[in-house]
Amino acid sequence: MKYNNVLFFAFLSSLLGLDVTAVAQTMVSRPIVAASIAGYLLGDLKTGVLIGAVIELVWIRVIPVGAVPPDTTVSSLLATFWCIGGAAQGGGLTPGVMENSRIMLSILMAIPFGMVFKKLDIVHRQFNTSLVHLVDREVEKQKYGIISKAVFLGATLFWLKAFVFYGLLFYPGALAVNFLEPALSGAVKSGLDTAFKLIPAAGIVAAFSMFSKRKHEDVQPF
Amino acid sequence: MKTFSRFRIFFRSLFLQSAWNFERIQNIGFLYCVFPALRMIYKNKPELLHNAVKRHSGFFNTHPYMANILIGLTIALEEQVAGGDKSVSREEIEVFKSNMAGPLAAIGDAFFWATWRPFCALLVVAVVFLYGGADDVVIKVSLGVFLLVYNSVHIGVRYMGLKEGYGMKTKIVKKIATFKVQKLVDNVRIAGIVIICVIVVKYFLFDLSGAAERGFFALALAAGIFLDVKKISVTFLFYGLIIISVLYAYAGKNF
Repeated sequence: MKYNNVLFFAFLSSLLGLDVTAVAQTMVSRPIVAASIAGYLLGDLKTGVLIGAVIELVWIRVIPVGAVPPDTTVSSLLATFWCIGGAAQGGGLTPGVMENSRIMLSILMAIPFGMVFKKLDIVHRQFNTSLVHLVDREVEKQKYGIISKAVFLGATLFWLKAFVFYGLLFYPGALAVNFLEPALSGAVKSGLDTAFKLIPAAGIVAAFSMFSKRKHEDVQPF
Repeated sequence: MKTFSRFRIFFRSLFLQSAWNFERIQNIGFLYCVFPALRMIYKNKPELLHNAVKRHSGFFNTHPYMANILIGLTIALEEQVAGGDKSVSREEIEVFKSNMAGPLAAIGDAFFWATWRPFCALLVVAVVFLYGGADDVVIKVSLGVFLLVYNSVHIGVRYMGLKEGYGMKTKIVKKIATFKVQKLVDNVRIAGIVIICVIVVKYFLFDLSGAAERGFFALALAAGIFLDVKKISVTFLFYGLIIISVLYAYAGKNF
């Protein structure tokens, strides 16, 4: 099964992204779930779940407390599409025999974009203040229909922002991974393979640190 | 509150954060949740309805799962006041709302965000690590179980919060005080640590091979603990490990 169509994937990913803040928080947006769903639809569940597991574990301490949750969902969906979807587009690789260096390359490229998305999210939530004033004005005129409209508009904006972000980045990122992977020297490739084996150490430290603390007063920045 | 409207409000509560904003956080979502009830309570009393809507469009910020307690409570108290009960005033509803939002957020953050969510995720991660190239069925089942187990608690808390917040009214405060959340958090945390230890031992003994790999892994763990104590971000550790691995490979060495 292969659905490596950019628009379809941007649509699916942005729907999953609604779960982060805007709607319900059922955790379908967690890296381990989101990356697995994406991997499955792209025809390589194992690579998807691997990417999800790495990001989930390493950034396990990132919790949506306080203002804005850092977007590990974005990083894991970008990495999964670039890694698997890119391989399908490049034609050179068959999903299922993914090299660890390619997985590593996709993740390390996707993390900064998760941070960029977080910045966008902050701007978006500042913009939402204008929704509050809109609601205030309409309520003053006893027009209460605005309440549901504002909620619907708010959710739509969360969705649209993610849709545009994914739509713009899926294809170029996949091209970049496809271009970089064969261009990497043998040393870099084996370095990335080594890193792939060592990264669980970062995840284990992060998870241990999270579970060993009685209080979580220090929320880990991204 | 009829069961029908409870379901309706429950459904609406899923959108509590859809208009999240820096000025009043979840205020629009909260208003969206209580509005159907307010309209019913202040039927044919447009002035009072207007007043109530304005009162409930102020700052509101709590854990999204715990908010339903306050939604239920607010509706119950509004009904009480509208029914002519003098034991509670409209101002007091505001006070209850704002006084309880903080503690409820603290409970929700400590239990759901900092414990239950990472714990459930850790279980799936453990399956991936322990079964290595687990077959697709194992992965699918464990993801399904993750969502089911996590959300049965999540949806349960949302639903019961709305029901009991409405039914028990202000008595809910005492009820919540009897919950041993910290004890629960501690137990889940200990289970989490056990799982982490199992993952480390399995990975170290069976997935890594040779002295070089194991030595490097142990060094990476030590470096990670050091950075963690120094409160340096795990992102730094992540990229540091990649750079060091590549440099090591450049020096002509390999695992």
